[in-house]
Amino acid sequence: MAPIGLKTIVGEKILNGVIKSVRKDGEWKVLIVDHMSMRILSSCCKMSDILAEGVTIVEDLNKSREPISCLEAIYLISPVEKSVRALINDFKDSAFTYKAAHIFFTDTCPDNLFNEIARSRVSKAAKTLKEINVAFLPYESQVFSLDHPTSFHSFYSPKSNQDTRNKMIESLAEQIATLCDTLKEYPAIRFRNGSDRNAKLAEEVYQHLNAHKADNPSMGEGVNKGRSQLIIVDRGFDPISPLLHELTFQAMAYDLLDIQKDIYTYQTTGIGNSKDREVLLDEDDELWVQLRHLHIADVSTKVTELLTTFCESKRMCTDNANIKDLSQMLKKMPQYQKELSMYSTHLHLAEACMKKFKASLHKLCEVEQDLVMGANAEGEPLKDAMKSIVPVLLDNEVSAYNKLRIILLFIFHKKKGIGEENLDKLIQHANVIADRNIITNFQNLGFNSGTTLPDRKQRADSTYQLSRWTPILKDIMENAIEDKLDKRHWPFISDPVPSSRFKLRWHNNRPPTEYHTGPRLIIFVIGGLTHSEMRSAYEVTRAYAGKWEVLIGSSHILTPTGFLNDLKILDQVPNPSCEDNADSNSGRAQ
Amino acid sequence: MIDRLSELRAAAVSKPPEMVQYSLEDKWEVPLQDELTVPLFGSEKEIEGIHREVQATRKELLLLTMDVKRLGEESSRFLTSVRRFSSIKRDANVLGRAVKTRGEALIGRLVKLGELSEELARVHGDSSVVARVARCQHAALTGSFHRAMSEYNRAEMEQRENCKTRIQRQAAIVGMEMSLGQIEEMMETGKWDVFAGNGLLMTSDMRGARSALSEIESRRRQLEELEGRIRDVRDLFFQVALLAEEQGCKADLIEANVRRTRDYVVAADNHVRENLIFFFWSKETYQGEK
Repeated sequence: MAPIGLKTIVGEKILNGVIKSVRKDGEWKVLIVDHMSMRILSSCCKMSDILAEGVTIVEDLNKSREPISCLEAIYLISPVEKSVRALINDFKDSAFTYKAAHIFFTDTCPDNLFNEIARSRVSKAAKTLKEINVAFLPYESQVFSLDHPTSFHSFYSPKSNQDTRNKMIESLAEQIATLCDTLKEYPAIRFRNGSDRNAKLAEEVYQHLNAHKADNPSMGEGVNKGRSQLIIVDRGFDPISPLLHELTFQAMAYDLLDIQKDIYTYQTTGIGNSKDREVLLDEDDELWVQLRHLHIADVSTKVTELLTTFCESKRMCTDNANIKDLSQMLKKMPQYQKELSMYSTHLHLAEACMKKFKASLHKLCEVEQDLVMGANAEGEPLKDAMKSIVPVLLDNEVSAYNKLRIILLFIFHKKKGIGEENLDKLIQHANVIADRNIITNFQNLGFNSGTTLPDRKQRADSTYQLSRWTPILKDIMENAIEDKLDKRHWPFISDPVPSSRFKLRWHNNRPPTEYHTGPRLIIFVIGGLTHSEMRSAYEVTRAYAGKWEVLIGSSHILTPTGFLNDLKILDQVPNPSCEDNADSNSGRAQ
Repeated sequence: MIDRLSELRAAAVSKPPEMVQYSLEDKWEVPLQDELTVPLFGSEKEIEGIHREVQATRKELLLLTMDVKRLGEESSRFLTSVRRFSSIKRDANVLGRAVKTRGEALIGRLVKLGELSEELARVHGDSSVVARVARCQHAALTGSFHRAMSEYNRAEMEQRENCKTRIQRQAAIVGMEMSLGQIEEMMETGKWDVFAGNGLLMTSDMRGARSALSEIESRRRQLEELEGRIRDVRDLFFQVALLAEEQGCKADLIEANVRRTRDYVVAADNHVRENLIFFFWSKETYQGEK
């Protein structure tokens, strides 16, 4: 059985624990959310589900709201100063804004804020005060995000404030601990030995995890849960994956097309009128779930194949099912409109990707793959890397960022590093002097040009010449599952749980079926997650036939462009008001 | 979930309530806008009205979904049950009609709710609570209604497919193999001439078929007449039987009486004869003596 996804788990937890728990028949309530909880809510619950459970409207905490003193309010907020102040403000005057308050915090409320609430009049109006311990975004069924894109800067910038960094590490640790709490896991924590950031974060996570376990002893109970692991790794470990041009559907779409907040916009060429259509790419779209990890060549064939079978089963003529014919069929059979529009969306998406690819990327991908694999498609080792990249760098049609990516990959290829003047020459040839600091900033990731990449497994399953690279994390996942991960490079924070625990009682006392009964491998990447690594998590889970479930997450999801943009400002002083800002590359539509 | 309500109450009791002063430079102060600080007394009734309407609509929607589900089950029974076809059809039709009427009623309600929400938006302003409540609920209900209707559509389509399968099966029983595509064609064109295509009757035999049909019809009429006559005859016999039943014993009596009478007459006749002989003998005897 496929593991139950994160979204379902979180959605159920919120619907049952928050909304249904205070529901009374015949009474309606107002739901008030702040920015973070709104993101969490919209990524796992549908508005109609919430409205069907006695909620009459959803309001934003930070907007000025009209008082509705006949209804009670459910506050689903994160315990930060801004939200708590707004909460207290609602009940400041003698006329309360709402009849009563049911307060749910997304994670542990710090003592000072708690006392503030106790001192204010909210304590009189509060009928419920709970901490639900869900402080992360369930981005996909096996991917989570902590919605903290500014953490990249705090972690890696030499100019960032030590204080902010510590606070941020603490809040990230708390968020990861709530993830484990929600999943009822008490994993053994490991980190990559190479940077003190990892060690620090791992230590913090351990502390917070123990705090949660003290309140919730059922974490980590379960026959196989003793083997669960949480691995903390930093972005500098695998700097190649965020720079490479990936040719799988999801990665390619996010890389080449402008997809903001997971919404894909395109023009329909239908029936005379061409209007803009917006489609949300998430797990509700079954076709997207099927296609997102496939190679782009497979995608077009698969979609056309599915469309043909669909049309035949509904008896429409399918001589050449291109977009125009589709729109005609749409007119004829309105009941199939929804399904056909899904097919048409994905065909569009695939076509758009292919168009961009054919325009300029074909040669780039070839050069990139040769550089990162150290050998060309036939397996011959690359003799003169410089020769292969110079034509690309001199080509004016290639964009600056693409050239930068090639240069960076070249630097990684050269195991002994690259000299300063060679670098200057390259940059001059490529005409990317303005973005030079991106390259220098890269060193802040802890990946110096002299470090070598770890040994890679030989893989025989790559079928496409331009997709030979697999993310390094995939090797780590497989090694962790098979227990081959070297303890020196990947030390444990605490001693791993003795293996005798899971020999008992394997046949009865099964945990509730909502939760995956096998062990879980949770991977947290500091500094951002790429789509190829997300894909690897699913592939590894499938390969181990559901015995292990791999969850992967980070502070935010990267696209190559976003990554380079972030690198660019790494040497600048941080912007002080960037605490709650949503980055356009992560998060969900609201 | 960690419940900290008791902690809060304890903390509230132990610490005396302070008047927390917020300085005006506090940048998290929620900006007050004049038109929105007036507490809504009148709108509460409207909100409650909306809530009632929404509740009722949701109940209707629930009933609708249940009907649709039952319809789906009925149509699946189409293929498998041994009940009479007509009774299954009747139930399905009844359900379908119920769904349609309920759906229409729901559409009416939704339209009214939509108008109400627009009205409220006009009166109270687009971002007022009442207007937003109405809009949100209207959108959610419309979405649910769409889902229910798509489900109904799917059930009806399935029904259609089941009917086609059933026709195919019947045709196979008769001896005619038909593919689903052919059945679909027949349904679309409205002609069922595929039956005539490669089956019992050829198109060239159409006239022969017609004459055969008329012959069969006249035969049938004759047979019916015959049947009527036989029925009359039967009635007759029946009545005869009845009469015979009634009068059977009478006939026996009559016969018995007739026999007795005859015997009596015979006996009487003998007697008379004997008397005559005796008379004539005595006459003769006594004649000679004189």
